[in-house]
Amino acid sequence: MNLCVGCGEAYTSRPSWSTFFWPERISLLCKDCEGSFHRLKDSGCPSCMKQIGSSICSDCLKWEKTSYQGVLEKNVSLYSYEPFMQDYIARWKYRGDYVLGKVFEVEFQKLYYQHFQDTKYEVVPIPLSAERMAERGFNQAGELAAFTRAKRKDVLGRKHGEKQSKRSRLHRLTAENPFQLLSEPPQYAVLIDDIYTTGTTLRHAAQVLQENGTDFVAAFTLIRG
Amino acid sequence: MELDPKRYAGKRLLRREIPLSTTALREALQHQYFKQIPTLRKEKNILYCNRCNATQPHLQNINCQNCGSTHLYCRNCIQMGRVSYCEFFYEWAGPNPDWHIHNNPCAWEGELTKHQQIAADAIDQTMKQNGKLLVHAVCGAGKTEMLFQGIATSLQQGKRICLATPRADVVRELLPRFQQAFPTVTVQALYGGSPDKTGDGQLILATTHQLLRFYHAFDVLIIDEIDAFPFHADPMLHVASEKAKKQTCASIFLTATPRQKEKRQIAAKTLPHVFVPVRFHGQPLPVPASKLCFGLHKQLRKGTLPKGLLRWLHNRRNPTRQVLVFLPTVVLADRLQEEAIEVLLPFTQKILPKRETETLIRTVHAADKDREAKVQAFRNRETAIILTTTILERGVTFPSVDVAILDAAHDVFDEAALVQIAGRAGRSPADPTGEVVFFHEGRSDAMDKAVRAIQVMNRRAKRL
Repeated sequence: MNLCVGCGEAYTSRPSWSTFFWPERISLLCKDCEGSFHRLKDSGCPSCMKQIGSSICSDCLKWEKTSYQGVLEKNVSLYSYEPFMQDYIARWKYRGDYVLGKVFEVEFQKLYYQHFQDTKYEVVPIPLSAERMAERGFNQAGELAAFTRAKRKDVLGRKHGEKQSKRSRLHRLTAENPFQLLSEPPQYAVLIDDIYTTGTTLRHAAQVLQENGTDFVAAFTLIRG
Repeated sequence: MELDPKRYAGKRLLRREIPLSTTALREALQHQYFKQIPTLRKEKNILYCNRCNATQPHLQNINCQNCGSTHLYCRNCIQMGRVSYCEFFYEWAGPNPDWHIHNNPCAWEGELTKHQQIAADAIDQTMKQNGKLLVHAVCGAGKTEMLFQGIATSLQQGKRICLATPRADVVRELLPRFQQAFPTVTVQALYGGSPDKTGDGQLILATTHQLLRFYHAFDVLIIDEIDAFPFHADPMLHVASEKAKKQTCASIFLTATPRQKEKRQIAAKTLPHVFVPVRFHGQPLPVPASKLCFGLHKQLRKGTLPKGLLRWLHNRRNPTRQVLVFLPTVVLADRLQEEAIEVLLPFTQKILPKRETETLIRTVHAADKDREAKVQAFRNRETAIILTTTILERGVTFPSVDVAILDAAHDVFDEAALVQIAGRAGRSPADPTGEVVFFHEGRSDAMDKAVRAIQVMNRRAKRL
């Protein structure tokens, strides 16, 4: 018997051959909590996975008309951003409950290799500013990047600023680029972050990489907000 | 350097809870204003959190980037800020704060009934002798007023006092009452998201969770509603309340519905207690009536209201009273909303005539963002009928209401909850009788026990 990390209730996980050989695959969540995460369907926007229609969505078309045209090849996300997920992520990130992140390891890794199987891709986690890092003690994007087990390059640095989640859409789009390059960027980069909301953060990071010689930049995120 | 002892004394704080710069804190440590305490301690090879006493499996590993190693942190009390192994608690070691000695602090001019006075004297005596006392008083006995005398004496001796209760709603309701009763004292309310967070008052009203921040702080600790969720079920809160006390400290426990544990202690005479069986207006507690409704579960599942409820609403003795309708779960409350508004609207005309229909019928539950505002609207008689989950079961006072419980046999309504809910009716001297009805489809043990408990208390009151 285990305690579910999501709700704290006791539960029993069903043993299987998979958990026999890989004990780390034993779910940390009870059935109810696990069922409250909603996987995104592949049928959404092919460029950002927004769950509207099946063609390129209006947000992506808008981006292509700005100076960020073509900086980000595509975004792939795993889950949708429903109230349960919002609460869960808030507890993970803002309250700093580190264990909650581990829940995503197996599925996140699986989806990564479905889309970026080639070993030429290297993951670049979106960094936190030094101040935020001191406050939180861990970087959620860094954790997710470690889950993929792909080759990792921490080449970006971030200036301290307001939380993106506290800003309006317009404010985000017009904000200045907070990222800077710390070392040589990879040729094929997959940016890793916890959430894709308007895509501004990821495009800022992608722009920095592209200006410094990266040929291909895609984004791989946990949630499509 | 100058630091206010009142701000820091009697607390164990994390670094981020101390609003000092790194250099200022280093200087304070050199002057021995603060003592560093490790966040986790080891006893017999088992690690414990030094704030909430939790152990495995609540202690989990974090790959901490601040110290560059993997170490433990406590998940049990994380909602009060994360306790990590690589950090320290800071405990005040500077001069003791001078709590003001108030000569005549109490401005409350009401009068206590005979029974209230007996309890008030016992409380006063216990506070003077730093003893322990359980006050068992029925719903609506006027527990808050019984405390004033003892608190006033303690303030005259320059003591620091805390009244803790499991529910934030209750803290919000108590704050203005205490501010009026003790106008010269710094009264502070602490709860998750309270405007005031410093906790440097002499008289503190807090949720039991907030006690986690305190350490050897209070000369008098009053815990209200000791049988309420989450206090009675969460060992962490018992640890918190023990730690918040000074070595010599008076403890007063208040309850209207003691649990088995307290009943046993009373019977074994290990816990001194005083019993107040009469409401302050002297009228007996309303005894709940039971109404059997066939097909109740099915109707609720479909989101319709039982006919029995409508019939009762139609035949109420006093149709101008507001109505509290209790539901077992949030899901049901949401499902019922639209139907309820349509069907119940005719009844609201008698309760609050000539009002716009928007705010007449409301639902409220724990996660509701407008919870405070909705409850306030009900209190102001802007809402006629409120559908609620158990969040309004205790601690809240509405002057003139009738109470209906739908599916009273549901598991969430245990004996204590039902007695408390029944205690919402008939609380004001102007309207001391109210109706309480259990709508059910098959009685539960808890329902029978609740009715019997209320009858016993009424009988004991009559005998006095």
